[in-house]
Amino acid sequence: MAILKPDEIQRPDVDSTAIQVFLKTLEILGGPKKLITYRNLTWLPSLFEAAYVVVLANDYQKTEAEIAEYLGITRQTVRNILRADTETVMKRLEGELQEKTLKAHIAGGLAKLAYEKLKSSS
Amino acid sequence: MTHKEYEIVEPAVTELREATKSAPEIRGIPTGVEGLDELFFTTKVTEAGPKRVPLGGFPQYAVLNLTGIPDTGKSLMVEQFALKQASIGLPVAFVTVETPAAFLASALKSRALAMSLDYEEIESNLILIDAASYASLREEIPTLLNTLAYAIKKYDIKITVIDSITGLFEAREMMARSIVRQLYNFMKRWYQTALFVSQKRSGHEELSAEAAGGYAVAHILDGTMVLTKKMISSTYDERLYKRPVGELIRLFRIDGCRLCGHDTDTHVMEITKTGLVRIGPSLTTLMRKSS
Repeated sequence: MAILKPDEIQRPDVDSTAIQVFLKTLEILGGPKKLITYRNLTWLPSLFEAAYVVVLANDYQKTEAEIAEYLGITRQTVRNILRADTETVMKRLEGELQEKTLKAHIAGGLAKLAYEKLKSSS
Repeated sequence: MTHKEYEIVEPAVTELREATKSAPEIRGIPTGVEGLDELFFTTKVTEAGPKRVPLGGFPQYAVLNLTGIPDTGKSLMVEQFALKQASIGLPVAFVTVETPAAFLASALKSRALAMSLDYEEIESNLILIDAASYASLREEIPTLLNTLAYAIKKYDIKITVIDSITGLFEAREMMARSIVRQLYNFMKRWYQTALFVSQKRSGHEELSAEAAGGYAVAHILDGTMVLTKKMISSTYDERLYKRPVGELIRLFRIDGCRLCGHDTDTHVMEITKTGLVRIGPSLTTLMRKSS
């Protein structure tokens, strides 16, 4: 009777999934050039953060507290990202593009949308 | 007002004729439990008309839920199934979430002896995945699924047993639906015939499909079998169950199965002196005998 050895446990790479979600958010936004044009490359950290939150919550079933601790952000930020509305995010985006700082719920909406698109195409 | 534009998922729309071409044939996978193989059935057309015939086991490619209160025989039943399949040459993945692999291995060995099965054949076909000892397998579903996929590819596994899925959402039962859905989709993608054990909570009705996580498990999976036990405590019970007061009786029922027909009666279930479960007569049959 074979018992699977510890080195045979296949841990998926959280980073690579988060990067995929992050790149998808850029695609949804119209590509990196659009962010450069609007002078809001400052959005990138928030988008990256939101991508991690969405992956950890959906793929790893981590709680808000666990995600906050893992990423070193507040529980409220995690909550804002996870409760973001994907339906309205695209509508609100045009106005937001003028802003230098990306709100957590907008980043969250984009990351959730990106995650949904990636999952439906896989 | 602008509406979100939804994409059209064209490949999801299929003619029944096309879907039938890739539909797997449903045949019986022996359960290893005496009296259980005959409780799933299919229909064959004969000259005399449609006739119900036993399937000879669980329907192939079904993902079934086995639930019950503690000490009713859930683990015994899935162990017998895993051993039976491994003994006839089908590779089996046994994900143990409650008992560490080494302890499970010794229980399986004694069970195989009681079943008079070829243990050498079993040893080469039964793959244990120890989620009881490795938290990453228990707490991270992607890790569990990746590891299972690795084992399925490496050993050409056709049968998967998880004992128990409740251990995968302990202290986070609100995630049960999402976890069970991922496991179910995974089993279907890999064409597995699978048995998932799920535990009942104290408030659940004992012979219902409800388990930890509510009805999520039963709703998502292809079918549910329920086990329970009852103390004979009155002369009415004595007459009904044909057992003396003070004795414990175990009951078994198939609550539902989407893939094929099944017996709907509640059956007496026994755990033999050698520690094996077997399904006995239905309560209806017992009642008829007593009248």
